[in-house]
Amino acid sequence: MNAHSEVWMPVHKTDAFTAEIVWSSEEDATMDEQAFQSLYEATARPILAYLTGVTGRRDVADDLLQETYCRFLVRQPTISREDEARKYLFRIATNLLRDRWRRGEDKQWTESPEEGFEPNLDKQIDVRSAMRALKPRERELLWLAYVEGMNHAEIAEAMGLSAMSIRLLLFRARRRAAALLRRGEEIR
Amino acid sequence: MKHIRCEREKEVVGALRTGTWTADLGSHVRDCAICAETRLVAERLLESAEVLRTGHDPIAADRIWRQAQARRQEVALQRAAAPLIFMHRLSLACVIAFATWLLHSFWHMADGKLMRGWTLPGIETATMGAAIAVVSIAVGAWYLLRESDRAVSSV
Repeated sequence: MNAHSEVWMPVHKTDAFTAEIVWSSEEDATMDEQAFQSLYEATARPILAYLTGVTGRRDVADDLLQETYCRFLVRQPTISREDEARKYLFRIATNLLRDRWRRGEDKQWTESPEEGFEPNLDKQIDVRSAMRALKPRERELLWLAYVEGMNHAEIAEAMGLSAMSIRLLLFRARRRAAALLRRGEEIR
Repeated sequence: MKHIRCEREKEVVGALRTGTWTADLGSHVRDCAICAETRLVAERLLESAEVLRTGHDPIAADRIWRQAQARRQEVALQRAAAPLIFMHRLSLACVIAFATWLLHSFWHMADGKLMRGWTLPGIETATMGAAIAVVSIAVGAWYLLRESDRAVSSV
């Protein structure tokens, strides 16, 4: 590291979404291991949940998570804020999911409901059944919109679609998911 | 359902995500089919996400860091080796062009005046010599290329 370079400090330590990433130096903008670990701690769980929720498989989600962060570190985008890094990571993860579906590797959905979460076990099974019945793109849309709280422009950026099309696609996905969930409730 | 979107849909999702559900929003959701649908889907997805977030630990960050560092080195070495590979391929193309020209010239010589009067053993020896030269050049070029490819793939 350059002796004259400055180390950036986080401005809002308590707010994980707006905190600045601490890069090793301003000149080379290369993330150091400590900065990566803090970014990883803040973002890995939501991304892993997204990948597991959308693929329905933990083993695949683990592999995709690893690949997502590897690509992020290899590319070293010029990003200074954690929320930007988070969006960028979701974009990489979504691209990896799309590559997987293009290769036809989305046939298996083996994820079983979590143990130790008895109160909502039935609901979880319903959600998983509904997700399995949806198209991969619909699962991504719903997750990014409702779990990650992304707006249409952010979803469009993450999914490589036009912002105009998101409204209609999200509406269709939500309607299908709601119908599947209601059917699950009726059966129960 | 005539409309595909309600203005308060975002508010519904926000309230579910932050847990700040108000009575006013509750009464709106009871009357609005879009928001009721949004609530049903978002609520279930958020519950599922919570379970997934807490139920499964991501792999260690240092493992990913080491893997990424190794890959960065690999990418850097591949970039550095790219001109070398290009030069090797260019040299192979030059060798093939030279060998083709040599053979063409030889046959041209054989038809022309230069070799007129040569005895059959003389022509055979010259042909053999030209063939050995071409084979040697080709083997040398192949060996060079193989070594460079092996060096790049071992990176």
